[in-house]
Amino acid sequence: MREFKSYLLVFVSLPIVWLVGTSVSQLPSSILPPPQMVFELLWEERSSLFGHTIATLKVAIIGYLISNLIAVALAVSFLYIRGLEHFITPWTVIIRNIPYVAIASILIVTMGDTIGPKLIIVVLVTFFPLLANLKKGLRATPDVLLDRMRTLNASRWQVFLKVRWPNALPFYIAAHEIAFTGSIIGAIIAEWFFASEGLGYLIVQSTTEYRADRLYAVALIASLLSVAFYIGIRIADRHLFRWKPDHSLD
Amino acid sequence: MLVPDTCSGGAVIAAHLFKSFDGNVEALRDVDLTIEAGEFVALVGPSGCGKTTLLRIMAGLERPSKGKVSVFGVSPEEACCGSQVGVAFQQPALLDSRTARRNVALSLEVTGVKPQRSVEDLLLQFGLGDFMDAYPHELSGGMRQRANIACALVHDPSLVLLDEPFGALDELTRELLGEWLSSILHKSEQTAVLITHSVDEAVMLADRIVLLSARPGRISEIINVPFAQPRSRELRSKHEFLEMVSNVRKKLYAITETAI
Repeated sequence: MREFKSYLLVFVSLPIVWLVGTSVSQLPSSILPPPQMVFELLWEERSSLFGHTIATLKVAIIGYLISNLIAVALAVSFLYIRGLEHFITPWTVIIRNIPYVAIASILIVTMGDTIGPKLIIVVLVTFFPLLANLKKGLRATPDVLLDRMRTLNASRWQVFLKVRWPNALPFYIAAHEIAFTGSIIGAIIAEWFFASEGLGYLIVQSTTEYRADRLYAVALIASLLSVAFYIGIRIADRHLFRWKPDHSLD
Repeated sequence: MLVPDTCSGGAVIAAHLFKSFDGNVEALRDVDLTIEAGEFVALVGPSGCGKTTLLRIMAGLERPSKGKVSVFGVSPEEACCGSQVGVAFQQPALLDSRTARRNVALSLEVTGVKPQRSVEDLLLQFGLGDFMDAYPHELSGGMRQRANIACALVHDPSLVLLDEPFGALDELTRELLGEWLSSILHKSEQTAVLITHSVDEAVMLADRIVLLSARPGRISEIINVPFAQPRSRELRSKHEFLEMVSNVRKKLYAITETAI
């Protein structure tokens, strides 16, 4: 609980720090709008902001689901298909190291303003931590458990389902802590390049219109979403892994 | 289901067994050993003498480089297919994500065996009645080992292989668990092979002690333990027991010193 309380503290103290910052710095509201101005905008434009937030969430969540499907399929295939990892890894390293900006531009040029390029960007941002952790988790099964399963004449499927997968789950959840929040960032990046809706699109629009208040509002929504995702994962972690030794200390 | 075939001359027969790793590290050399059904045999020897390798060969987890092993007349792998082998490893083979009850039940889920005793009865017998729903990290070292042994016994295997299951425990817990294990195994007439570093434990529990020499492991001597089973705690303080422990220890010293 202490962990979640500290998040609450951040959200309570943020407007205060912000207010102090605006009055001390004396910056014009077109550069640093005071919190009340941003909150007013959040209220006035709530329906439009809600629509754009839903658009971003749709991209983030669908993209994240696809990312998980690919990561689980690859991690499991690496475990059972000899040589596949050596063949695939160089490709993943190359793709990982092409700047997102370049990939996004290419995708938008070839696919236009469809959901496709946005989903691909979300997959690229979130896929690697998922794959890396799952790979590690599936291989971290203690030898003694694998030996026990062999003496019981367990099938490969039984070994996977009853031993390897439960052992890999904490690694998988740890990856979600990083990757799930990354899906929001990925969706916003994609929308920032080319889109007619979503929080990324709002950022571009607000910048060209010099609307700092709306920019701050979008930043606030995006961080709230990310924190909500993160806390959601932490809660799931606590419920799923009550058996983890460190949870007894909570 | 394989039926224990005691007519073929032994529950476990190892004939001219050799094992080397990567072609150069010789772990076992010409091991000949017959273990009768229902017998409790202790394997004792210096560290690194190949005791665990021998046990792993009996469990079908390693293959000998030369020679043959049979478990109830078939290969160890086939005996495992028939759920005839139960192994308690040195490190408890427990899944962190399962309670003691579900860890023990895992052996039944995998083998499909319907045991004579239910998991709950077994855990009660193992003194874990109040901890059935505890996760491994909530159990003490002794409890974890008992759960580990329960996992090896729950599917009623005819051969129980124990790789130093009490090695990491304090002396008193060791002795108590040893007595407890002995009473359980003698009631069920299962064949048992125990690896131990403790001469006391070997003399207290085993019908025969197999002394292995330093690497490469060879059978140096097989010692019959004459005390009737089941053995009581009082035996530990008797002169004959202490003398036997002292004799076995002397032999073990001799083997170990030549190795150093």
